[in-house]
Amino acid sequence: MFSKFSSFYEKARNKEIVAGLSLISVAVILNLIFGYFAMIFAFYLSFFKWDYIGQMQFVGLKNFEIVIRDLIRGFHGAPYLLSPFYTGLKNILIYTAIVVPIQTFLAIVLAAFANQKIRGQQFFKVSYFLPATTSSVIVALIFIWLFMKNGFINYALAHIIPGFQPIDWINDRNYLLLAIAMVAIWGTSGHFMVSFLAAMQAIPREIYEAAMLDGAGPIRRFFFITIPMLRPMIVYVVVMGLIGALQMFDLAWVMAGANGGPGGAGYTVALDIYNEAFTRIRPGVAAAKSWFLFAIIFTTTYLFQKKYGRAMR
Amino acid sequence: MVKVSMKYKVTINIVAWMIGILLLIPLFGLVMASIRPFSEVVSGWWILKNAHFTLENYIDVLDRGFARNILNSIIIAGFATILPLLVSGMAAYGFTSFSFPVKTMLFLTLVAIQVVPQQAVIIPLLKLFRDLGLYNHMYGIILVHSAFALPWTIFFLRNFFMSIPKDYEEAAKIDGLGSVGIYFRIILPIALPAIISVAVVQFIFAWQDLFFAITLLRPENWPASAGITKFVSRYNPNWGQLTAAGVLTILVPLLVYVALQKYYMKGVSGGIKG
Repeated sequence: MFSKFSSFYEKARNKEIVAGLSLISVAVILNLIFGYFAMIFAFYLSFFKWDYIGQMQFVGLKNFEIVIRDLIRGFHGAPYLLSPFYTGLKNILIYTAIVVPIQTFLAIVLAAFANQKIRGQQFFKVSYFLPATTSSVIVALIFIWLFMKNGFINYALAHIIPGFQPIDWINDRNYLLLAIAMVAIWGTSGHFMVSFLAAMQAIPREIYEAAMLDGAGPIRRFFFITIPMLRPMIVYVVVMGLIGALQMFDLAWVMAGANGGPGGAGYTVALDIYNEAFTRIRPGVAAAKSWFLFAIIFTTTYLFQKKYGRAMR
Repeated sequence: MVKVSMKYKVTINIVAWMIGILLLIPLFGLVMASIRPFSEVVSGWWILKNAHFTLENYIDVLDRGFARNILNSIIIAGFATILPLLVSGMAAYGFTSFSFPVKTMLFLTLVAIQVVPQQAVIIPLLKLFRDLGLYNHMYGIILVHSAFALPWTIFFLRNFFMSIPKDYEEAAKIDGLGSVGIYFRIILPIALPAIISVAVVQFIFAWQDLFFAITLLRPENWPASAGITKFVSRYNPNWGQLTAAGVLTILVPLLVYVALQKYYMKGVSGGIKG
Protein backbone atom coordinates (compact mmCIF):
# COMPACT_ATOMS: atom_id res chain seq x y z
CA MET A 1 0.00 0.00 0.00
CA PHE A 2 2.69 2.41 1.03
CA SER A 3 4.90 1.58 -1.93
CA LYS A 4 1.97 2.11 -4.27
CA PHE A 5 1.36 5.51 -2.79
CA SER A 6 5.02 6.43 -3.03
CA SER A 7 5.24 5.38 -6.67
CA PHE A 8 2.16 7.47 -7.39
CA TYR A 9 3.83 10.32 -5.62
CA GLU A 10 7.05 9.72 -7.56
CA LYS A 11 5.14 9.83 -10.83
CA ALA A 12 3.39 13.06 -9.97
CA ARG A 13 6.66 14.56 -8.85
CA ASN A 14 8.45 13.53 -12.06
CA LYS A 15 5.59 14.89 -14.10
CA GLU A 16 5.90 18.21 -12.31
CA ILE A 17 9.64 18.35 -12.93
CA VAL A 18 9.18 17.59 -16.62
CA ALA A 19 6.37 20.13 -16.93
CA GLY A 20 8.32 22.83 -15.11
CA LEU A 21 11.48 22.28 -17.10
CA SER A 22 9.69 22.21 -20.43
CA LEU A 23 7.87 25.45 -19.60
CA ILE A 24 11.13 27.28 -19.08
CA SER A 25 13.10 25.40 -21.76
CA VAL A 26 12.44 27.79 -24.65
CA ALA A 27 13.54 30.76 -22.57
CA VAL A 28 16.65 28.94 -21.39
CA ILE A 29 17.64 27.89 -24.93
CA LEU A 30 17.20 31.41 -26.34
CA ASN A 31 19.12 32.77 -23.38
CA LEU A 32 21.95 30.29 -23.88
CA ILE A 33 22.32 31.02 -27.59
CA PHE A 34 21.96 34.79 -27.60
CA GLY A 35 23.40 35.47 -24.18
CA TYR A 36 25.86 32.90 -22.94
CA PHE A 37 27.07 31.44 -26.24
CA ALA A 38 27.59 34.97 -27.57
CA MET A 39 29.50 35.95 -24.43
CA ILE A 40 31.77 32.90 -24.59
CA PHE A 41 32.44 33.49 -28.26
CA ALA A 42 33.23 37.14 -27.55
CA PHE A 43 35.69 35.98 -24.90
CA TYR A 44 37.28 33.52 -27.33
CA LEU A 45 37.43 36.19 -30.01
CA SER A 46 39.30 38.60 -27.76
CA PHE A 47 42.42 36.40 -28.13
CA PHE A 48 42.34 36.42 -31.93
CA LYS A 49 43.03 38.66 -34.86
CA TRP A 50 40.38 38.40 -37.52
CA ASP A 51 38.95 40.28 -40.50
CA TYR A 52 35.53 38.51 -40.67
CA ILE A 53 36.56 36.63 -43.85
CA GLY A 54 39.92 34.89 -43.45
CA GLN A 55 41.25 32.55 -40.79
CA MET A 56 41.29 33.61 -37.16
CA GLN A 57 44.81 34.13 -35.92
CA PHE A 58 45.71 33.55 -32.28
CA VAL A 59 47.47 36.58 -30.81
CA GLY A 60 47.38 35.86 -27.09
CA LEU A 61 46.79 38.87 -24.90
CA LYS A 62 47.69 41.36 -27.60
CA ASN A 63 44.16 42.77 -27.92
CA PHE A 64 44.01 43.46 -24.21
CA GLU A 65 47.44 45.03 -24.42
CA ILE A 66 46.13 47.44 -27.07
CA VAL A 67 43.33 48.50 -24.73
CA ILE A 68 45.63 48.95 -21.74
CA ARG A 69 48.17 50.93 -23.74
CA ASP A 70 45.32 53.13 -24.92
CA LEU A 71 44.30 53.71 -21.31
CA ILE A 72 47.87 54.51 -20.21
CA ARG A 73 48.40 56.91 -23.11
CA GLY A 74 45.13 58.65 -22.34
CA PHE A 75 46.04 58.87 -18.69
CA HIS A 76 49.23 60.68 -19.64
CA GLY A 77 47.20 63.19 -21.60
CA ALA A 78 47.42 61.89 -25.17
CA PRO A 79 44.92 63.44 -27.61
CA TYR A 80 41.71 61.56 -28.25
CA LEU A 81 42.69 60.01 -31.58
CA LEU A 82 45.55 58.20 -29.85
CA SER A 83 43.47 57.11 -26.90
CA PRO A 84 39.89 56.62 -28.09
CA PHE A 85 39.00 54.08 -25.42
CA TYR A 86 40.26 56.29 -22.60
CA THR A 87 38.30 59.25 -24.03
CA GLY A 88 35.14 57.18 -24.34
CA LEU A 89 35.54 55.82 -20.84
CA LYS A 90 36.13 59.23 -19.30
CA ASN A 91 33.14 60.71 -21.12
CA ILE A 92 30.80 57.88 -20.24
CA LEU A 93 31.72 58.05 -16.55
CA ILE A 94 31.07 61.80 -16.44
CA TYR A 95 27.86 61.30 -18.42
CA THR A 96 26.65 58.56 -16.07
CA ALA A 97 27.48 60.66 -13.01
CA ILE A 98 25.32 63.47 -14.40
CA VAL A 99 22.46 61.49 -15.89
CA VAL A 100 21.65 58.77 -13.35
CA PRO A 101 21.12 60.94 -10.23
CA ILE A 102 19.20 63.66 -12.07
CA GLN A 103 16.97 61.33 -14.05
CA THR A 104 16.15 59.33 -10.92
CA PHE A 105 15.31 62.43 -8.92
CA LEU A 106 13.32 63.99 -11.75
CA ALA A 107 11.41 60.75 -12.23
CA ILE A 108 10.41 60.79 -8.56
CA VAL A 109 9.32 64.43 -8.77
CA LEU A 110 7.29 63.77 -11.93
CA ALA A 111 5.65 60.78 -10.29
CA ALA A 112 4.85 62.86 -7.20
CA PHE A 113 3.02 65.39 -9.39
CA ALA A 114 1.24 62.77 -11.47
CA ASN A 115 0.14 61.14 -8.21
CA GLN A 116 -1.59 64.32 -6.96
CA LYS A 117 -5.34 64.52 -7.12
CA ILE A 118 -5.38 67.47 -9.46
CA ARG A 119 -7.21 68.56 -12.54
CA GLY A 120 -5.94 66.96 -15.72
CA GLN A 121 -4.16 64.02 -14.12
CA GLN A 122 -4.60 62.13 -17.36
CA PHE A 123 -2.77 64.90 -19.20
CA PHE A 124 0.26 64.58 -16.90
CA LYS A 125 0.42 60.83 -17.13
CA VAL A 126 0.59 61.11 -20.91
CA SER A 127 2.72 64.24 -21.23
CA TYR A 128 5.25 63.09 -18.63
CA PHE A 129 5.59 59.75 -20.36
CA LEU A 130 5.51 61.07 -23.91
CA PRO A 131 9.28 61.71 -24.17
CA ALA A 132 9.87 58.06 -23.22
CA THR A 133 7.86 56.84 -26.21
CA THR A 134 10.03 58.89 -28.54
CA SER A 135 12.90 57.07 -30.25
CA SER A 136 16.23 58.35 -29.02
CA VAL A 137 17.27 59.07 -32.59
CA ILE A 138 14.38 61.50 -32.92
CA VAL A 139 14.96 62.87 -29.44
CA ALA A 140 18.54 63.56 -30.45
CA LEU A 141 17.49 65.19 -33.70
CA ILE A 142 14.93 67.44 -32.02
CA PHE A 143 17.50 68.53 -29.51
CA ILE A 144 20.20 69.16 -32.09
CA TRP A 145 17.85 71.76 -33.41
CA LEU A 146 16.95 73.13 -30.00
CA PHE A 147 20.63 73.30 -29.09
CA MET A 148 21.74 75.05 -32.28
CA LYS A 149 23.33 78.46 -31.96
CA ASN A 150 20.11 80.17 -33.01
CA GLY A 151 18.00 77.45 -31.47
CA PHE A 152 15.31 77.57 -28.84
CA ILE A 153 17.49 76.86 -25.80
CA ASN A 154 19.76 79.83 -26.44
CA TYR A 155 16.69 81.90 -27.28
CA ALA A 156 15.03 80.98 -23.99
CA LEU A 157 18.20 81.38 -21.91
CA ALA A 158 18.85 84.82 -23.42
CA HIS A 159 15.41 85.91 -22.23
CA ILE A 160 15.88 84.48 -18.74
CA ILE A 161 19.49 85.46 -18.06
CA PRO A 162 20.37 89.04 -19.01
CA GLY A 163 23.55 89.39 -21.03
CA PHE A 164 23.63 85.66 -21.90
CA GLN A 165 25.96 84.84 -24.76
CA PRO A 166 24.58 82.13 -27.07
CA ILE A 167 26.47 78.83 -26.78
CA ASP A 168 27.12 76.63 -29.79
CA TRP A 169 26.23 73.52 -27.75
CA ILE A 170 26.67 70.84 -30.37
CA ASN A 171 29.92 72.13 -31.85
CA ASP A 172 31.59 73.19 -28.63
CA ARG A 173 33.64 70.47 -26.99
CA ASN A 174 32.92 71.89 -23.55
CA TYR A 175 29.15 71.60 -23.88
CA LEU A 176 28.50 68.65 -26.18
CA LEU A 177 28.51 65.99 -23.46
CA LEU A 178 26.32 68.16 -21.24
CA ALA A 179 23.86 68.61 -24.10
CA ILE A 180 23.74 64.83 -24.65
CA ALA A 181 23.19 64.31 -20.93
CA MET A 182 20.28 66.77 -20.89
CA VAL A 183 18.69 64.98 -23.82
CA ALA A 184 19.06 61.63 -22.08
CA ILE A 185 17.45 62.98 -18.94
CA TRP A 186 14.54 64.36 -20.94
CA GLY A 187 14.10 61.08 -22.76
CA THR A 188 14.28 58.57 -19.90
CA SER A 189 12.80 60.29 -16.84
CA GLY A 190 9.27 59.62 -18.06
CA HIS A 191 9.96 55.94 -18.37
CA PHE A 192 11.12 55.65 -14.77
CA MET A 193 8.35 58.02 -13.65
CA VAL A 194 5.87 55.23 -14.29
CA SER A 195 7.79 52.84 -12.04
CA PHE A 196 7.82 55.40 -9.22
CA LEU A 197 4.19 56.30 -9.75
CA ALA A 198 3.24 52.67 -9.34
CA ALA A 199 5.36 52.34 -6.19
CA MET A 200 3.82 55.53 -4.77
CA GLN A 201 0.31 54.24 -5.27
CA ALA A 202 1.28 51.27 -3.13
CA ILE A 203 2.21 53.49 -0.15
CA PRO A 204 -0.66 53.37 2.38
CA ARG A 205 -2.66 56.62 2.61
CA GLU A 206 -2.78 56.41 6.41
CA ILE A 207 0.91 57.18 6.75
CA TYR A 208 0.44 60.49 4.95
CA GLU A 209 -2.69 61.32 6.90
CA ALA A 210 -0.95 60.65 10.20
CA ALA A 211 1.94 62.88 9.14
CA MET A 212 -0.46 65.64 8.10
CA LEU A 213 -2.15 65.47 11.50
CA ASP A 214 1.30 65.88 13.05
CA GLY A 215 1.66 69.02 11.00
CA ALA A 216 4.20 67.85 8.40
CA GLY A 217 4.09 70.01 5.28
CA PRO A 218 4.14 68.67 1.71
CA ILE A 219 7.91 69.07 1.32
CA ARG A 220 8.64 67.25 4.57
CA ARG A 221 6.16 64.51 3.73
CA PHE A 222 7.92 64.05 0.39
CA PHE A 223 11.39 63.73 1.91
CA PHE A 224 10.51 61.82 5.09
CA ILE A 225 7.79 59.48 3.85
CA THR A 226 7.76 59.19 0.07
CA ILE A 227 11.51 58.89 -0.54
CA PRO A 228 12.21 56.29 2.21
CA MET A 229 9.17 54.23 1.17
CA LEU A 230 10.38 54.24 -2.42
CA ARG A 231 13.82 52.92 -1.52
CA PRO A 232 13.60 49.49 -3.21
CA MET A 233 12.29 51.14 -6.35
CA ILE A 234 15.04 53.76 -6.25
CA VAL A 235 17.67 51.02 -6.11
CA TYR A 236 16.03 49.26 -9.05
CA VAL A 237 15.81 52.45 -11.13
CA VAL A 238 19.41 53.46 -10.38
CA VAL A 239 20.67 50.00 -11.37
CA MET A 240 18.68 50.07 -14.61
CA GLY A 241 19.86 53.64 -15.19
CA LEU A 242 23.49 52.61 -14.70
CA ILE A 243 23.18 49.70 -17.12
CA GLY A 244 21.60 51.97 -19.71
CA ALA A 245 23.86 54.99 -19.28
CA LEU A 246 27.16 53.10 -19.30
CA GLN A 247 26.40 51.53 -22.69
CA MET A 248 24.89 54.66 -24.23
CA PHE A 249 25.17 54.52 -28.01
CA ASP A 250 22.38 56.06 -30.05
CA LEU A 251 22.30 59.59 -28.64
CA ALA A 252 26.04 59.98 -29.15
CA TRP A 253 25.83 58.38 -32.60
CA VAL A 254 23.28 60.95 -33.75
CA MET A 255 24.30 64.05 -31.79
CA ALA A 256 28.08 63.70 -31.94
CA GLY A 257 28.47 61.39 -34.94
CA ALA A 258 30.36 58.08 -35.06
CA ASN A 259 33.64 59.88 -34.39
CA GLY A 260 32.43 61.61 -31.28
CA GLY A 261 32.18 65.20 -32.49
CA PRO A 262 34.67 68.00 -31.87
CA GLY A 263 37.70 66.75 -29.95
CA GLY A 264 35.91 63.48 -29.23
CA ALA A 265 33.81 65.31 -26.66
CA GLY A 266 30.81 63.07 -27.33
CA TYR A 267 32.75 59.83 -27.79
CA THR A 268 31.57 56.84 -25.73
CA VAL A 269 32.85 53.33 -25.05
CA ALA A 270 29.96 51.86 -27.03
CA LEU A 271 30.83 54.04 -30.02
CA ASP A 272 34.44 52.97 -29.72
CA ILE A 273 33.50 49.27 -29.71
CA TYR A 274 31.28 49.87 -32.73
CA ASN A 275 34.13 51.62 -34.56
CA GLU A 276 36.61 48.88 -33.69
CA ALA A 277 34.25 46.25 -34.99
CA PHE A 278 32.92 47.91 -38.12
CA THR A 279 35.21 50.78 -39.12
CA ARG A 280 38.68 49.63 -38.10
CA ILE A 281 37.68 45.96 -38.66
CA ARG A 282 39.38 44.69 -35.52
CA PRO A 283 36.69 42.46 -33.98
CA GLY A 284 39.23 40.98 -31.57
CA VAL A 285 40.01 44.39 -30.11
CA ALA A 286 36.31 45.21 -30.06
CA ALA A 287 35.68 42.03 -28.07
CA ALA A 288 38.46 42.90 -25.61
CA LYS A 289 37.01 46.37 -25.17
CA SER A 290 33.53 45.02 -24.66
CA TRP A 291 34.88 42.87 -21.83
CA PHE A 292 36.20 46.01 -20.18
CA LEU A 293 32.79 47.61 -20.59
CA PHE A 294 31.10 44.52 -19.19
CA ALA A 295 33.45 44.56 -16.20
CA ILE A 296 32.65 48.23 -15.54
CA ILE A 297 28.88 47.74 -15.77
CA PHE A 298 29.06 44.61 -13.64
CA THR A 299 31.17 46.13 -10.86
CA THR A 300 29.24 49.41 -10.63
CA THR A 301 25.84 47.73 -10.51
CA TYR A 302 27.12 45.03 -8.15
CA LEU A 303 28.69 47.53 -5.75
CA PHE A 304 25.62 49.73 -5.78
CA GLN A 305 23.27 46.84 -5.07
CA LYS A 306 25.52 45.48 -2.38
CA LYS A 307 25.62 48.82 -0.62
CA TYR A 308 21.99 49.86 -0.94
CA GLY A 309 20.06 46.62 -0.90
CA ARG A 310 19.13 43.99 -3.38
CA ALA A 311 16.75 45.06 -6.09
CA MET A 312 17.00 42.04 -8.33
CA ARG A 313 15.25 39.56 -6.18
CA MET B 1 -9.65 63.61 6.35
CA VAL B 2 -7.27 66.54 6.56
CA LYS B 3 -8.13 69.62 4.57
CA VAL B 4 -5.60 70.59 1.94
CA SER B 5 -4.83 74.28 1.89
CA MET B 6 -5.86 76.28 -1.14
CA LYS B 7 -2.43 77.80 -1.61
CA TYR B 8 -0.79 74.37 -1.71
CA LYS B 9 -3.30 73.12 -4.24
CA VAL B 10 -2.77 76.08 -6.55
CA THR B 11 1.03 75.81 -6.37
CA ILE B 12 0.96 72.10 -7.13
CA ASN B 13 -1.32 72.69 -10.10
CA ILE B 14 0.83 75.43 -11.56
CA VAL B 15 4.10 73.52 -11.17
CA ALA B 16 2.62 70.30 -12.55
CA TRP B 17 1.28 72.08 -15.61
CA MET B 18 4.55 73.93 -16.14
CA ILE B 19 6.59 70.73 -16.06
CA GLY B 20 4.15 69.08 -18.45
CA ILE B 21 4.39 71.96 -20.90
CA LEU B 22 8.17 72.17 -20.55
CA LEU B 23 8.48 68.50 -21.42
CA LEU B 24 6.19 68.93 -24.39
CA ILE B 25 7.97 71.95 -25.92
CA PRO B 26 10.48 69.88 -27.91
CA LEU B 27 7.73 67.66 -29.32
CA PHE B 28 5.60 70.69 -30.07
CA GLY B 29 8.57 72.11 -32.00
CA LEU B 30 8.87 68.86 -33.91
CA VAL B 31 5.25 68.97 -35.02
CA MET B 32 5.37 72.69 -35.86
CA ALA B 33 8.48 72.28 -37.97
CA SER B 34 6.96 69.39 -39.88
CA ILE B 35 3.77 71.19 -40.90
CA ARG B 36 5.25 74.54 -41.88
CA PRO B 37 7.41 75.44 -44.86
CA PHE B 38 11.12 75.52 -44.08
CA SER B 39 11.54 79.21 -44.95
CA GLU B 40 9.18 80.04 -42.08
CA VAL B 41 10.73 77.88 -39.40
CA VAL B 42 14.36 78.50 -40.25
CA SER B 43 14.59 81.36 -37.77
CA GLY B 44 12.56 79.52 -35.15
CA TRP B 45 9.33 77.53 -35.11
CA TRP B 46 8.19 79.44 -32.03
CA ILE B 47 7.59 82.58 -34.12
CA LEU B 48 3.94 82.26 -35.06
CA LYS B 49 3.68 85.40 -37.21
CA ASN B 50 2.40 84.65 -40.74
CA ALA B 51 2.16 80.92 -40.09
CA HIS B 52 1.27 78.72 -43.04
CA PHE B 53 0.49 75.06 -42.71
CA THR B 54 1.19 72.36 -45.24
CA LEU B 55 1.44 68.58 -45.42
CA GLU B 56 4.04 68.73 -48.17
CA ASN B 57 6.81 67.38 -45.95
CA TYR B 58 4.79 64.31 -45.09
CA ILE B 59 4.08 63.60 -48.75
CA ASP B 60 7.76 63.99 -49.60
CA VAL B 61 8.81 61.67 -46.79
CA LEU B 62 6.37 58.98 -47.84
CA ASP B 63 7.52 59.46 -51.44
CA ARG B 64 11.06 58.67 -50.36
CA GLY B 65 9.93 55.28 -49.11
CA PHE B 66 9.58 56.01 -45.43
CA ALA B 67 6.32 54.08 -45.27
CA ARG B 68 8.38 50.96 -45.84
CA ASN B 69 10.55 51.79 -42.80
CA ILE B 70 7.47 52.31 -40.64
CA LEU B 71 6.07 49.00 -41.82
CA ASN B 72 9.39 47.29 -40.99
CA SER B 73 9.21 48.82 -37.53
CA ILE B 74 5.67 47.58 -37.00
CA ILE B 75 6.65 44.05 -38.07
CA ILE B 76 9.84 43.95 -36.01
CA ALA B 77 8.48 45.60 -32.86
CA GLY B 78 5.19 43.71 -33.12
CA PHE B 79 6.72 40.25 -33.33
CA ALA B 80 9.50 41.22 -30.91
CA THR B 81 6.72 41.92 -28.41
CA ILE B 82 4.48 38.90 -28.99
CA LEU B 83 7.22 36.27 -29.18
CA PRO B 84 9.07 37.07 -25.93
CA LEU B 85 5.73 37.45 -24.12
CA LEU B 86 4.66 33.95 -25.14
CA VAL B 87 7.99 32.54 -24.02
CA SER B 88 8.39 34.51 -20.82
CA GLY B 89 4.77 34.02 -19.77
CA MET B 90 5.31 30.28 -19.95
CA ALA B 91 8.66 30.49 -18.19
CA ALA B 92 7.31 32.72 -15.44
CA TYR B 93 4.48 30.23 -14.89
CA GLY B 94 7.06 27.45 -14.72
CA PHE B 95 9.07 29.39 -12.16
CA THR B 96 6.11 30.21 -9.92
CA SER B 97 3.85 27.16 -9.98
CA PHE B 98 6.23 24.23 -10.41
CA SER B 99 9.10 22.94 -8.38
CA PHE B 100 12.06 21.29 -10.02
CA PRO B 101 15.77 20.96 -9.32
CA VAL B 102 18.12 23.95 -9.72
CA LYS B 103 15.13 26.26 -10.16
CA THR B 104 16.64 29.27 -8.39
CA MET B 105 19.93 28.84 -10.18
CA LEU B 106 18.24 28.69 -13.57
CA PHE B 107 16.23 31.79 -12.74
CA LEU B 108 19.31 33.74 -11.70
CA THR B 109 21.18 32.56 -14.80
CA LEU B 110 18.36 33.84 -16.97
CA VAL B 111 18.06 37.21 -15.27
CA ALA B 112 21.80 37.81 -14.90
CA ILE B 113 22.32 38.18 -18.64
CA GLN B 114 20.77 41.64 -18.31
CA VAL B 115 24.12 43.21 -17.41
CA VAL B 116 25.78 42.08 -20.64
CA PRO B 117 26.14 45.09 -22.93
CA GLN B 118 24.72 44.82 -26.44
CA GLN B 119 28.10 45.74 -27.88
CA ALA B 120 29.69 42.66 -26.30
CA VAL B 121 27.48 40.20 -28.14
CA ILE B 122 27.09 41.90 -31.50
CA ILE B 123 30.08 40.33 -33.27
CA PRO B 124 29.25 36.75 -32.20
CA LEU B 125 25.64 37.33 -33.22
CA LEU B 126 26.74 38.74 -36.54
CA LYS B 127 28.89 35.67 -37.20
CA LEU B 128 26.10 33.34 -36.11
CA PHE B 129 23.64 35.15 -38.36
CA ARG B 130 25.99 35.05 -41.34
CA ASP B 131 26.52 31.32 -40.86
CA LEU B 132 22.82 30.59 -40.46
CA GLY B 133 21.74 32.98 -43.22
CA LEU B 134 19.77 35.13 -40.79
CA TYR B 135 21.74 38.31 -41.52
CA ASN B 136 19.58 41.05 -43.04
CA HIS B 137 16.42 39.07 -42.29
CA MET B 138 13.76 40.54 -40.07
CA TYR B 139 13.17 37.31 -38.17
CA GLY B 140 16.82 37.36 -37.14
CA ILE B 141 16.52 40.72 -35.42
CA ILE B 142 13.16 39.70 -33.97
CA LEU B 143 14.89 36.72 -32.33
CA VAL B 144 17.61 38.96 -30.90
CA HIS B 145 15.11 41.43 -29.47
CA SER B 146 13.12 38.56 -28.01
CA ALA B 147 16.15 37.02 -26.38
CA PHE B 148 17.17 40.35 -24.86
CA ALA B 149 13.62 40.92 -23.60
CA LEU B 150 13.45 37.61 -21.73
CA PRO B 151 15.46 38.48 -18.59
CA TRP B 152 13.40 41.47 -17.52
CA THR B 153 10.03 40.20 -18.77
CA ILE B 154 10.44 36.89 -16.92
CA PHE B 155 11.59 38.77 -13.82
CA PHE B 156 8.62 41.11 -13.99
CA LEU B 157 5.99 38.50 -14.79
CA ARG B 158 7.28 36.08 -12.16
CA ASN B 159 6.89 38.83 -9.57
CA PHE B 160 3.33 39.41 -10.69
CA PHE B 161 2.40 35.73 -10.86
CA MET B 162 3.74 35.25 -7.34
CA SER B 163 1.34 37.92 -6.07
CA ILE B 164 -1.64 35.85 -7.28
CA PRO B 165 -2.99 33.95 -4.25
CA LYS B 166 -2.28 30.20 -4.37
CA ASP B 167 -5.93 29.51 -3.40
CA TYR B 168 -7.11 30.33 -6.92
CA GLU B 169 -4.90 27.62 -8.33
CA GLU B 170 -5.87 25.14 -5.65
CA ALA B 171 -9.57 25.77 -6.23
CA ALA B 172 -9.13 25.32 -9.98
CA LYS B 173 -7.25 22.06 -9.41
CA ILE B 174 -10.12 20.72 -7.29
CA ASP B 175 -12.51 21.65 -10.08
CA GLY B 176 -10.44 19.41 -12.32
CA LEU B 177 -8.49 21.98 -14.30
CA GLY B 178 -5.05 20.86 -15.53
CA SER B 179 -1.89 22.94 -15.64
CA VAL B 180 -2.71 24.23 -19.12
CA GLY B 181 -6.20 25.17 -18.08
CA ILE B 182 -4.97 26.92 -14.96
CA TYR B 183 -2.51 28.96 -17.00
CA PHE B 184 -4.99 30.07 -19.64
CA ARG B 185 -8.13 30.40 -17.50
CA ILE B 186 -6.76 31.60 -14.16
CA ILE B 187 -3.25 33.05 -14.39
CA LEU B 188 -3.44 34.87 -17.73
CA PRO B 189 -6.74 36.66 -17.13
CA ILE B 190 -5.61 37.88 -13.70
CA ALA B 191 -2.20 38.88 -14.99
CA LEU B 192 -3.55 40.66 -18.07
CA PRO B 193 -2.67 44.19 -16.86
CA ALA B 194 0.89 43.07 -16.08
CA ILE B 195 1.21 41.42 -19.47
CA ILE B 196 -0.07 44.55 -21.19
CA SER B 197 2.38 46.76 -19.35
CA VAL B 198 5.27 44.48 -20.29
CA ALA B 199 4.02 44.54 -23.85
CA VAL B 200 3.90 48.34 -23.96
CA VAL B 201 7.44 48.74 -22.62
CA GLN B 202 8.87 46.00 -24.83
CA PHE B 203 7.14 47.40 -27.91
CA ILE B 204 8.64 50.83 -27.24
CA PHE B 205 12.09 49.31 -26.58
CA ALA B 206 12.06 47.33 -29.80
CA TRP B 207 10.68 50.29 -31.73
CA GLN B 208 13.46 52.57 -30.47
CA ASP B 209 16.35 50.22 -31.09
CA LEU B 210 19.08 51.60 -33.31
CA PHE B 211 22.14 49.50 -32.54
CA PHE B 212 20.83 46.06 -33.55
CA ALA B 213 19.02 47.53 -36.53
CA ILE B 214 22.07 49.13 -38.10
CA THR B 215 24.33 46.16 -37.39
CA LEU B 216 22.07 43.22 -38.26
CA LEU B 217 20.14 44.69 -41.19
CA ARG B 218 21.06 46.38 -44.45
CA PRO B 219 19.55 49.85 -45.06
CA GLU B 220 16.75 48.50 -47.31
CA ASN B 221 15.35 46.59 -44.33
CA TRP B 222 15.91 49.24 -41.68
CA PRO B 223 13.09 50.11 -39.31
CA ALA B 224 11.98 53.71 -38.89
CA SER B 225 14.36 54.45 -36.01
CA ALA B 226 17.33 53.76 -38.27
CA GLY B 227 15.69 54.74 -41.58
CA ILE B 228 15.14 58.28 -40.35
CA THR B 229 18.89 58.83 -40.54
CA LYS B 230 18.63 59.03 -44.33
CA PHE B 231 17.07 62.46 -43.85
CA VAL B 232 20.00 63.52 -41.68
CA SER B 233 22.98 65.12 -43.19
CA ARG B 234 25.30 66.78 -40.80
CA TYR B 235 25.83 69.98 -42.76
CA ASN B 236 22.62 70.52 -44.64
CA PRO B 237 19.79 68.54 -43.10
CA ASN B 238 16.35 68.80 -44.62
CA TRP B 239 14.56 69.80 -41.44
CA GLY B 240 11.11 69.69 -42.95
CA GLN B 241 11.36 66.07 -44.05
CA LEU B 242 13.35 65.08 -41.00
CA THR B 243 10.73 66.39 -38.60
CA ALA B 244 7.87 64.91 -40.61
CA ALA B 245 9.60 61.52 -40.49
CA GLY B 246 10.11 62.06 -36.77
CA VAL B 247 6.42 62.68 -36.15
CA LEU B 248 5.51 59.58 -38.16
CA THR B 249 7.99 57.50 -36.18
CA ILE B 250 6.65 58.67 -32.82
CA LEU B 251 3.03 58.16 -33.79
CA VAL B 252 2.71 54.37 -33.48
CA PRO B 253 4.29 53.88 -30.03
CA LEU B 254 2.40 56.92 -28.80
CA LEU B 255 -0.92 55.48 -29.95
CA VAL B 256 -0.04 52.14 -28.37
CA TYR B 257 0.75 53.84 -25.08
CA VAL B 258 -2.32 56.06 -25.02
CA ALA B 259 -4.62 53.19 -25.96
CA LEU B 260 -3.24 50.87 -23.27
CA GLN B 261 -2.35 53.47 -20.64
CA LYS B 262 -5.10 52.48 -18.22
CA TYR B 263 -3.97 48.84 -18.06
CA TYR B 264 -0.34 49.85 -18.16
CA MET B 265 -0.49 51.75 -14.86
CA LYS B 266 -2.49 48.97 -13.23
CA GLY B 267 -0.04 46.32 -14.37
CA VAL B 268 3.04 48.12 -13.16
CA SER B 269 1.65 48.69 -9.67
CA GLY B 270 0.56 45.07 -9.28
CA GLY B 271 3.99 43.83 -10.22
CA ILE B 272 5.67 45.75 -7.47
CA LYS B 273 3.47 44.61 -4.66
CA GLY B 274 4.29 41.00 -5.48
